[in-house]
Amino acid sequence: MSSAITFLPLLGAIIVLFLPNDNTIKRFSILWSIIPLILSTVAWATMWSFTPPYNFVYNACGAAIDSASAAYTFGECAPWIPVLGIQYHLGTDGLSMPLIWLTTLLTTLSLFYSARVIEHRVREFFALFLLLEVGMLGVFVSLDLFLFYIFWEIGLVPMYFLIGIWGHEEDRPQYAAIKFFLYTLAGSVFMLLGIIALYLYSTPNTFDMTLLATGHANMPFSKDVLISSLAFLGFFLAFAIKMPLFPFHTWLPDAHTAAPTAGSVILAGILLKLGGYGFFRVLLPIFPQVAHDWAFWIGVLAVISIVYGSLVAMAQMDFKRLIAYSSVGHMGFVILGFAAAAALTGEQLQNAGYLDSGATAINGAVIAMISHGVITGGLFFLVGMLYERTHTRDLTQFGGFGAQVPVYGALLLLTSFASLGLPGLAGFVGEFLVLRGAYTTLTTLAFIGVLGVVFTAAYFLWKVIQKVLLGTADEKWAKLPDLKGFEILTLAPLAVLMFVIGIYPTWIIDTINFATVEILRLMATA
Amino acid sequence: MDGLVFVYLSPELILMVAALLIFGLDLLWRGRSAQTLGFVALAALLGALGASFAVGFRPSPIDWSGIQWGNQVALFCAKCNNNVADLLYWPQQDLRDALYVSDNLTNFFRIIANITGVIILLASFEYMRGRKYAGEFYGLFLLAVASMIMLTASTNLLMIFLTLEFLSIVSYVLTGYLRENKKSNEAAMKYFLFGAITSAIMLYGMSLFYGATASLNLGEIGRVITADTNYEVLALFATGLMLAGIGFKISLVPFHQWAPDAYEGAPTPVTAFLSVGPKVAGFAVLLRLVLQVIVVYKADWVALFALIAVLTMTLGNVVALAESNVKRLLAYSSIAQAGYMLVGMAAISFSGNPLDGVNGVLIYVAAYLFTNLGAFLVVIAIENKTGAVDISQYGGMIQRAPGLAALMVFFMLSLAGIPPTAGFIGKFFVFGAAINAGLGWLAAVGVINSVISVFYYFRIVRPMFFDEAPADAPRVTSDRWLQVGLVVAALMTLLILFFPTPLYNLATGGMTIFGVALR
Repeated sequence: MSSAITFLPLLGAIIVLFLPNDNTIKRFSILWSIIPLILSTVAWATMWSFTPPYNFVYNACGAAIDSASAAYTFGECAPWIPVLGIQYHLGTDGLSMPLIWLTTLLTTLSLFYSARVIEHRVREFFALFLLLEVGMLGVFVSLDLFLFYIFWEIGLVPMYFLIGIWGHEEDRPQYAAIKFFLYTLAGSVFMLLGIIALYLYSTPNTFDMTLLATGHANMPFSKDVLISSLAFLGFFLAFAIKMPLFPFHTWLPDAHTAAPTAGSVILAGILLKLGGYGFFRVLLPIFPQVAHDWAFWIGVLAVISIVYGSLVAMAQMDFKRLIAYSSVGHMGFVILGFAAAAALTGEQLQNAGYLDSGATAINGAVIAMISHGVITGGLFFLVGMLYERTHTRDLTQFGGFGAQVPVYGALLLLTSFASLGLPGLAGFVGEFLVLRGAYTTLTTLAFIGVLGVVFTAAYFLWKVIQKVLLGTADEKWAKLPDLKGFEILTLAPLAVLMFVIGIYPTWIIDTINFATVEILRLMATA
Repeated sequence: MDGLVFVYLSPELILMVAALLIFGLDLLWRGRSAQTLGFVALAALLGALGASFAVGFRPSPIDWSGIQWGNQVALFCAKCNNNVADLLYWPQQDLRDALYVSDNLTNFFRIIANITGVIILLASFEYMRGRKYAGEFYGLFLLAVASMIMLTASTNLLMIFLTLEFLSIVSYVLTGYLRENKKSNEAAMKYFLFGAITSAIMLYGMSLFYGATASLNLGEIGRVITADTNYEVLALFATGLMLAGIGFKISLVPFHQWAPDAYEGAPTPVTAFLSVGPKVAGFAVLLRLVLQVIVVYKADWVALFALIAVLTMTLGNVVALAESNVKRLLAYSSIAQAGYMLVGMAAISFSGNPLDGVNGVLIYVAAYLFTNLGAFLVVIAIENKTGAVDISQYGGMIQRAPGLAALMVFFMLSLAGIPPTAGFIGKFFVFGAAINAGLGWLAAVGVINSVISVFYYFRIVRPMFFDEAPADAPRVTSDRWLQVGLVVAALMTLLILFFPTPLYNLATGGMTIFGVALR
């Protein structure tokens, strides 16, 4: 199942190269991308009916790995490079499953939307997009660090081309594309060194995440503070740049602004989550001690991201840049959740109350990632749709669109409220839980973090709702058409999800919580 | 002399005989049917490749039931039986005077050299069509491959010097092959002058070794130098001098200045050979020198190699940033790549861990070989049709030649060490070995360099994909032979990532080098 979901898009990308004309390519890509979506939906539904330990026996890599990966479903394992103990080891748990599902959903929506918008070099666009999906899904399903790294890098090249070729000419897409590439690569090469260090300092030497997470107590690695800190730093850089965390965020506004609409949606919706996923999949279970030592300072960076990101967003006059900076703020909450959980000491982890706070923080952070994917994905679609009509993103030129294009106005209003964290909509759940979790361990930081919520509300109300929707429309927008059927269809699933997650988040949190409990258990046994 | 010697020399002999045959036929046919001579050369290379494999396998010594990789013999030693002695069963002290060995390292490089030869030959058919003296080119090219193998097999300073000169002289002639082209002439002259000077310096280093130990054999020199630590300064000094000659072949800083000019002026298939062949052979010599002669002075050579590696990587990458001629850019890239390989040399740690420097160098060499040849094949294909060798002329290549453009991205990724490519496996082993050897800082410098390199590798990619093709730009097509070469290079670049185990096994075969027990 894991392999099928991951590699079906690759097969699709190859088929796309041989299809005869643009229309066939578009139809095929959309339909093809629905297959992984269905599979991941089925997989998630299956996951609900079980509780860990799953004990799906797939005894290809030995008993040690089988027992270490009991918390994962849809496991697959096969020897790959025996001499280095590298395995083709896949599996999903409550942390990765919602993200996999979100990836397949956003890819389908992006392809559906792009089919109507992209008219230039269609074949390359759809092939690259499917290839990008392979990289993202692969990161979420890999349980071997070597494999993880390969998937991590595979996504770079398609995104580079998506930004560079289909980006908006006035935003210097080629510059933004190489900047994105170099920044991300600069982080990930240090992760590679960290991966190698993990391998060399573990006994027996292994790249397997599940073994590293469960076996770290016996590793000489945990005793060598310098080496383990350096290895931690390598991973941290890669994830923090991808997230992005202040001060590594400078690639983000350029890349998000220059990318074509579907590219921005995937960048904000999924690629940023790769970083967040790494924080919880690698740093917390494998380096609990180092993460604990640095938790406060990571929390400080997170809070700076929240406050600084919101303030900079408030200063933007470019609609798309504003949304891009809003991501910096929102991702800050995810890292605050990480820091809050990492800040728990060994003794606190034995205490039910503290444990509860830790679980709340992690659950909150993960659900914040999901809802940010849904909401910001929606926002980038909305910005793209407006740009298609007006050919500008300058907020000073807009106004009065609430009356002019009511359907658009309603959806933008809904998505903005969701993003600024209105209770009852998706954005609120994650940020509330993170702040609640952080209150116990990082009280001061949690208080400062609340400021970010206020600033976010301020710029959405002022810059988005007031500047775009309220007021009177300029005469040149008199003939502005409202959303067409395909555009509403693109946004509808996201709008529904904003309500569903906001009103009844339990169905996601229950899944996430399985993984959260496992992460906290691994931390407690450190 | 027993016939067995010829068996163990067969890969080189096949190439030499074929070269002489080609020269003879070329004379008889007065330059006509050069294409046929090309096919003779191709057949010779494939034959030599087969012979390399055949020589490398040995029958199982116990029950003769199966065969296994790792047939190792020393040749031309005074106390051997008819000049051939099996390394496994002959007393080591009787083998120190061997001139030439056919061990795992030799066999590894035989395979590498012959594959290099095949791929470049496939690419040169189209390039050579209609040019004068094509027959001579094929003959000389076979001699270049043969001399490259012989250099990797030499275990005597005199043999090393002779084969190095052999390789150099053939390379000079090939570089200046385009007689009417001024740049080609200049390139050959510059290459020759630089080579002559570095050879002289190397010869001085060799004479120091001889003066101290009264022997030209690496094994004997190593024995004397290892026995008395007073030789440390001399060994380091002499090694440094020899490094001038070897570093010239590998294009290490500060012996790299010839490379950009020679690469630019030489016929592009020859450039492709220069970027792989001499470099690879140079590392074989360096491995023998380090492991057989100065191995005990580990702190010294680790520091020396680490320093040169940092300089070579950084200089190659930084200067490449400003280049706009693709051949020159790839020249600087290949300088930087030599730096990464040298990281592997500095990371030899004898730890027994799979992530060791010797493995790292050998795996890196193989990964680099296919990648770099692939990149040059794309350059050759484009040059054949359009004459373009400048990045600015690569505009819109994705429309003019989608396959070539896509492959170029793939090869550039591999050179930068980004998965899913062989280059990633190479960097993984080299940097892994560096961390394993306690040279984490060197690995960090290496990865920072590979990030820098992406910038200029993608400068080649950028116009290919982002710019519109000029209206009158022709579509770029290439002949069937070049396509075969490209497919081989691309497939190997991909397969080394997915199935690195066979390559790893070949390289660990290289770990048991003549006269050295690494485990």
